[in-house]
Amino acid sequence: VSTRLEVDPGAVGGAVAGRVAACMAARAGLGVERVEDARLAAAALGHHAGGAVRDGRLVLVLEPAAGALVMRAAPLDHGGGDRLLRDSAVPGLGPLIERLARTRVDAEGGGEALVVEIGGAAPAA
Amino acid sequence: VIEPIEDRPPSATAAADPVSGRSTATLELPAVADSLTVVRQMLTGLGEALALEPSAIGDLKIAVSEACANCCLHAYRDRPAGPMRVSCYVRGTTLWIAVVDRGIGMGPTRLGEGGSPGLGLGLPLMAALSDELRLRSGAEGGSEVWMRFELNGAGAP
Repeated sequence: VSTRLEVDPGAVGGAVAGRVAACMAARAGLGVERVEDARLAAAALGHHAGGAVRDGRLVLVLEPAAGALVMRAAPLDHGGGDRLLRDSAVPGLGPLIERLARTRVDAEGGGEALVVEIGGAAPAA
Repeated sequence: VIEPIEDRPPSATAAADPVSGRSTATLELPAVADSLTVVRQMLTGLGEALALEPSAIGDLKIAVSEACANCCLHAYRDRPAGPMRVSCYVRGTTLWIAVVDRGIGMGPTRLGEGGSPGLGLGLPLMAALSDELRLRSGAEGGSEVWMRFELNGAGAP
C-alpha cells in the first residue's frame, strides 16, 4: 500500500521526506544500509526539488515492492527529473541519488516524474 | 492503493479551517496501526528541521499519535480501513496539525459517553499536550482533529 507525502521543498521537506522514507524502507524489510540509502535519497529529493517541481510542491509517493522501496517524485517540469538528479550532487561525490538508487524519468501529466528505487538489484555504479 | 482523501471545495472549509493556504507537509496513508510509526517519523523530521527541543518533539508525537490511534481504532470501525491524512502547517512560531479521516465521523456517543472501548484518556491527553484542540466533523463525512502548538522561539527555517 502506498504512502503519499506532500512537502514544500527545502530544509523541512528534506528532513521529513528522509525520515518517512527510512521508516518505509525498514518496513519493506530492507537492510540497514539500504534504509540509510533511502533516507539520504529522499532527503535529497525533498531538499533540492524546488528547482524542478512545477508548482513549488513536491509529491512523493512511496511504495514498498519486493525487497525494495520505490519513490515517485512529481510533478516535475520537462527536464526536471535530470535537473533534480544534478542538483542532488555532493561536491566530491557527484550526483548522490544516482549513486544510491536506480532511477528513471517517466512522462507524467504534461511533465515528468522521477522514479527512484532503493534495494532490489544493486544500482549501476 | 487506498483512494486518497479528496480536497474539499474551498467554500466548504475556508471559513472553518484554523489556517489557510497550503500545508508545510502532508502525509496520507492507510488508517492502520502500522502507519503510526511513519507518522511519528514525519513529526521527528519536522521537529528537527524546526529546531524544536526533544521534549517538544516528544509531546507532538504523543498528541498526534493519540489522534491517529483514534482514527485507526474508530474511524473505519465497520468497514475496511480507509485513508488517514496528517497535515502540518507552520505559520511563524505556530504549528497547526490536522488529522483527517473519511470514516464514520464523531457523534456524542463516540466522544466519551460509552462508545469507546478505550480508557478515555486520548482527548484529555491531546488537550493537555497542545495549546489548542479542535474537533469537528468533516464536510463530507469523517472527522477532523486540529491541534495548535506554540513553538516557543523555534519556527520555520
